[in-house]
Amino acid sequence: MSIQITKAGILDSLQGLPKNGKQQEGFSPGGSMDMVAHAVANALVGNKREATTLEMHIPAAEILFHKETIFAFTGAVNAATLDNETVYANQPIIVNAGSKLSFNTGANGARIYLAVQGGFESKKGRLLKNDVLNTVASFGYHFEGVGQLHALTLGWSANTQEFYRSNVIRCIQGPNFTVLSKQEIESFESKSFEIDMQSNRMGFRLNSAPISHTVAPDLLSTAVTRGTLQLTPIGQLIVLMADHQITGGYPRIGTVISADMPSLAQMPIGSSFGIAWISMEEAEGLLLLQETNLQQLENACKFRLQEYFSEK
Amino acid sequence: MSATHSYQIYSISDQAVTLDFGGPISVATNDRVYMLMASLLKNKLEGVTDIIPAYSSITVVYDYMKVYEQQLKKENIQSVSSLIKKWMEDNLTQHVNDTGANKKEIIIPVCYDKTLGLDIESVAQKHNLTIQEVIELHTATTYRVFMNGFLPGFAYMGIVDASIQTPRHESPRPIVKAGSVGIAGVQTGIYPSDSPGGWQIIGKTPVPLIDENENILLKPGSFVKFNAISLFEFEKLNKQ
Repeated sequence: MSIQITKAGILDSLQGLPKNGKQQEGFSPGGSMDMVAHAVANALVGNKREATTLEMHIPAAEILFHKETIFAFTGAVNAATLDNETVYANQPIIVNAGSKLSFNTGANGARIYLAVQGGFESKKGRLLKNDVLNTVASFGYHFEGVGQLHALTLGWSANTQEFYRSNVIRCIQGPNFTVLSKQEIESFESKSFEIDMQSNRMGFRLNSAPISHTVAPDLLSTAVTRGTLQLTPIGQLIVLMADHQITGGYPRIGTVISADMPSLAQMPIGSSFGIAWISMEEAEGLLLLQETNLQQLENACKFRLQEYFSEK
Repeated sequence: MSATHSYQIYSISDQAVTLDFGGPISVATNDRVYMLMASLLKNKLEGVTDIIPAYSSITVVYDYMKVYEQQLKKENIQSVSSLIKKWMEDNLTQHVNDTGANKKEIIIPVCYDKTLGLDIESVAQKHNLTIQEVIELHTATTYRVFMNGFLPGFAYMGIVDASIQTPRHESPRPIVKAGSVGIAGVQTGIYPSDSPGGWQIIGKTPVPLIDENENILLKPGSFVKFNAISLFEFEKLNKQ
């Protein structure tokens, strides 16, 4: 039960839900950058949300399936090539042993998530060429390959559009919001922020016109989270991502709302967006809505798979 | 314990709340942090995933949906964030005898040789002290682990004797070796792994601060004392 990386991508790693509980000892919770794409990929193949997926950046890895399985990919691309055929994102696909998957079509995001039935055995860190990823056999459905075909799509797909937005990322104001000057606060929402080259799973540096601010009082290091907007002394923002440090001493002017973190995670280096301030009540409402929609999608996927395999 | 100490409480995300007693770094304020932490750990709330102590603040990280599902059905409270805030503030008034701080002193052997303590000479010069005096001052204090952060297992300790307090380097070193012991203002700390770093390096310990199972040696609330060892002893312990 395994797949193999036959050509490494720029940054491929096994990811899952954040590992909480050890932040007080300095361990970053990590986890998939785009939790929605992670959850949808898992749902499509019948996994629980906590199953491990393969997170790939662009250019992505080439993959060889050593055993027949059901897989799905989500996130930054609409299509991929399975041997010589085009296969599409956001659908469950049954694949034969010996098939090769490559992502050579254009991307419209930054990260691809690949799930296989049962999930991968969790292994940390960057994956390299020839790494064999073991999968966990915990799948209830049985099928007998796809005969002469390379692959068989099961006939349904997940619509993930409603989960993503471009242009404007919504944030709540942070404890040090008041270090921003009055004019800065007035014009802040018309500013444009570009994701700098020096951005990674730890954080995105944002390029913008210098942010005018008062010199922050000496701040004692305190906890920061995924989404925290830190203001550096030169008046630029860093937004903390999945592998963030757990404490920081820069002024925290705000935090990206949880519901918009997947959208931010899919913005490639060089793309730009604006920031809109919303209230805590709105942020909670949006998170609840996103989670409700995601759970509905997960249930629908589960139902479809059950139906498909009970008919066989 | 009275809850009359002033504090601020605010959300730092839609899934995290910080209660902040305010600076400066002090043992008394940090005591309050661990008192509150002990109370929060005792009176657990379903859906809370992390309780992170810092110098003068404590941050509760929670899974919004878990808290929402567990709590909002039962209680008539407006929002999850206000429920978390109320839970934290309620625990301020709880008296907990055991603050959870590890009272046992952890002894860390440190070699202060110039070849390992790259900055000890310049630190001594800055304060018109001999290297031996810096060593004596650094080993005389029992330090408290105020918090962990920066790297897994990195402990922010203090308070460093005023006569050897030295600010960080203006530009950090690209690599500070694991085990290096540094000073930054009132703080002292040990790099648990190789990392870029700006602290003034005065020595090195052969003791690993984190093991292969990610267990860390210096936990929040621990007490630590440094014991000076020779380069010979360092090499001997380092081989073990």
